[in-house]
Amino acid sequence: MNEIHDDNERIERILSQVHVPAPPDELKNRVIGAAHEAWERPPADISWQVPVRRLALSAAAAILIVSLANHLSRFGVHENARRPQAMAPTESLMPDASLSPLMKHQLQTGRRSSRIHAPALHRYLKNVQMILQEVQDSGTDDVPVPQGGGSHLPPSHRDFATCV
Amino acid sequence: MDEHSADESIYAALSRDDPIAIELIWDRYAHDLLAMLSALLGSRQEAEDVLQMLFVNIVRRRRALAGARRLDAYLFRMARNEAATYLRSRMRKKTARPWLTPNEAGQEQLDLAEQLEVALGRLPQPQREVVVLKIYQGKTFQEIGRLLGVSINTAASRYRYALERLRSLLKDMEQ
Repeated sequence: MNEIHDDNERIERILSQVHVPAPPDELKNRVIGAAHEAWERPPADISWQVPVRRLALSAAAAILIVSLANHLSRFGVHENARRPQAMAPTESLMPDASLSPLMKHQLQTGRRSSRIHAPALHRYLKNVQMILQEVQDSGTDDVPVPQGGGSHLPPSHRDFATCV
Repeated sequence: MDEHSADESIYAALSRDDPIAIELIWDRYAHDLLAMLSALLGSRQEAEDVLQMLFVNIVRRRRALAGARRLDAYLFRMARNEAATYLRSRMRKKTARPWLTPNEAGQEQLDLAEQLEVALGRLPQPQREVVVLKIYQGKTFQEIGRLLGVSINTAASRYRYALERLRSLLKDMEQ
């Protein structure tokens, strides 16, 4: 161990007999002169980074806006779902009627929309109930023409929206 | 001015985009950077050329430099990248100028300097960097670790292995 330590010291002594000279003034003037010239030109990290940064900021802002809109949308749906007034007409009109899959889907789609128009839903369900009642009373399978010449089809998502 | 104050002055100059930052960086780091570049390139002439390219690059990236957490480590990383780029390029000069200068005059000392350059050139680059920064720039292992982005133990190990290798390369050399 001592031998290695002594050897290392010997190597260090040999290495220390030379040195790396400091940069001369001529080199300093040359390098600093070139650096000052470069200083006058626009920095490299400005030329291409600015549009990239702008793009990233725009994308981040867009994501934020969409997220906020989705959040508010979900909040609005939950609020409507919690309100007993919006649900009461539906429940009172068809206490025992089972909903067709299409109606269920339409209702679910309507609930997912940002604005549920309860009166339109109320009218639609009232029509359906009348139709069912008439069919039952007549004892036939013929579907009567709805009053006012309206469509048999349940109101679409667009109808709900246009009623607003 | 101590090292910390010197770095603070550099940061301040870079923050206000003051060209005085160039001189401040030169005064603080040029010698160390030149020593490391000399060790990496094995030539004084090429080291000086790359040092100039490095300073131009420092100016071009001064905004990033102003935000660097550790100025010295950032500069040394830039220097090593610059040297690596230079080595890969076709700009290499065929004739290399010696980068080690003897402390005393005389042909014997000149021959010694040449032998040491050859021996150091045979070391792996990571070991060579540590030896030059330790022996010729007087850095501690902690400082070397920070400049090269390695732990203190790694710096010390590289130095130990370098001396071991130099022992066999220089075994016939007199003290």
